[in-house]
Amino acid sequence: MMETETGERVWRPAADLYATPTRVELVIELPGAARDDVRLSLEDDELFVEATVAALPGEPVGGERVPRRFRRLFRLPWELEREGVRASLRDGLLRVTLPRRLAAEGAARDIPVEEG
Amino acid sequence: MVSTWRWTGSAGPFGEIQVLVNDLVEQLFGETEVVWPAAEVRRTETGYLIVVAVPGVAREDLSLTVDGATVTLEGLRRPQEPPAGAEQLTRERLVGTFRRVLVLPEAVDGEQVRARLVDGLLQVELPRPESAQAREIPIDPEVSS
Repeated sequence: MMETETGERVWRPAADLYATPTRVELVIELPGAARDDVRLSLEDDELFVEATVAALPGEPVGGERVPRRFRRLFRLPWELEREGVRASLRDGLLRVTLPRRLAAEGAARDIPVEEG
Repeated sequence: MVSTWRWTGSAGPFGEIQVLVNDLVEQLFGETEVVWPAAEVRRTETGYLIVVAVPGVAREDLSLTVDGATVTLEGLRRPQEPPAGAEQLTRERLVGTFRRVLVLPEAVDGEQVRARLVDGLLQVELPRPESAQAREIPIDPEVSS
């Protein structure tokens, strides 16, 4: 958890990360977020997600604070096909699918063995 | 305010996470209970609003009961079906059953409670009983003796 310049809390959303030989999939918890609340960007091997959820009526009188602001940077150390990245949001879960760049079919590579 | 987080009894396929999370919590707080889901009680003009963050939890997996001033929420977080052939590299999202008991500052009328689940946020509106709502009190004219 961090704080912004204005002292507002920013939460690091919980996430699950999966990888298959053809793609990488991230499931990120953003409870309360609608599509327009989420900002997502991919730069090099870093995926950045940020969301700000609408304020609620009334004043807090008990319980914990439910997160309103989320921010997290994911490092994805794979070769990715940037054009094919897809994201969908449902029930407060943001699902991001990133296709992996595949090596050319049957591209077996000889590994030179050095003397030493 | 009472709050409990209960893991499913059997270790099952999630025993590993249970250990992992409990270790982490023990390190941080010296206890084994995790407060999940986060629940916020707010006072509004007409009563109370309880907001609970339950991302990915289906409506049919939630049950809510109101008894006087006590609100109990129970539910189940189902494990997600991983993509075919996937290797799971991080597992931060919790799974299992949960139960939270929240006590409001005053009793509410259970009949008037409305709950909705939008974008993974459960919002429960609990109006204050009519008799307890603010009303203007007429001031009797002074009666001279």
